[in-house]
Amino acid sequence: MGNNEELRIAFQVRHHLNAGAARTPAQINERLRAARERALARQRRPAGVLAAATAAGAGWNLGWLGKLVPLLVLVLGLGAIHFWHQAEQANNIADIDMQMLADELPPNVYLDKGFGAWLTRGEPGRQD
Amino acid sequence: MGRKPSELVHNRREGTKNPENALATSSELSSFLAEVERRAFKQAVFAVRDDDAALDIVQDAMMRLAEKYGDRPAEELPLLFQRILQNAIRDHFRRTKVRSFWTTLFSSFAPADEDPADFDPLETLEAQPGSKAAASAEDEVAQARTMALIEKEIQKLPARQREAFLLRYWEDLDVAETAQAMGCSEGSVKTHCSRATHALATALKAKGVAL
Repeated sequence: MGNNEELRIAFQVRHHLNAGAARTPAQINERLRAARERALARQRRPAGVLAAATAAGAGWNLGWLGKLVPLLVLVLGLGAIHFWHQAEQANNIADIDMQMLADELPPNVYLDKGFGAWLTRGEPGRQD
Repeated sequence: MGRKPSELVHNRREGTKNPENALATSSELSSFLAEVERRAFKQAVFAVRDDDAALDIVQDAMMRLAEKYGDRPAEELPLLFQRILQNAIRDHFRRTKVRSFWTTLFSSFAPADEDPADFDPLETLEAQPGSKAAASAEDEVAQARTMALIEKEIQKLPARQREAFLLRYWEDLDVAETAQAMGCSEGSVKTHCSRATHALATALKAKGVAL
């Protein structure tokens, strides 16, 4: 059987199958309709509908870049937080060094356990 | 429905191609399901030979498509749905096999399943008053008989042949998509389709139906 003959027979069979599907009993059609509506009620919504709509509205198709950009922003944000934290710590230590060098602290303060703990933790704010 | 055989393979994709790859809206999903649900039901009936089980399978497939893939582009829906449907049919057979095992194990008085040989597709056909007003009664009876014979012969095909034939020639999936939906090679799809077509033509010819 050649390819054309196979397609011709398939077409004939398809024609009868379509006729059969069109004659599905009404009660079956009704149950199919109900099943369809139940499925539609639970349709998954796109996670990035707003972003996609915005991009589509602007005529952009970001593709993989759309996934990369948020990741890049997150990494940069974390880097910035880390840098700020390091700078804060350096400033605190610099303040303490400055006060000690300026001799503004009485010598007895070094006998204070609380002050020792504060120095170890490096927390600002205690003004004893 | 009025397409030529040579147009069978590519028309669906060309006809529904969405260049912007837009996500399926609720109405698109609804239209797709409404368009495919009867064929899906018939496919399931051909496989499991039980209307209620077939309805459960189709409902399950619709639910899975909507829940898991409802946010996919509309043009991806046909292949996704067919993959889900074929998996649902296979799941049905797995469950039936397990149930059958336990039933056999615990009860020798379990009622036997309906003999497939007793199944008469003509019983499933209901006259739809007015739908064939123009056709003569004889033509309608002849058409119904041919239709029933074809459906019966399709049911008799080996499962993989039937699956390949229906996906390829009824659902218009191309060879690659059919292979993807069936989880086999493209060569196997071609072989299954060819054998199915040959078997159908031979069986129908033996019963006096010339295609």
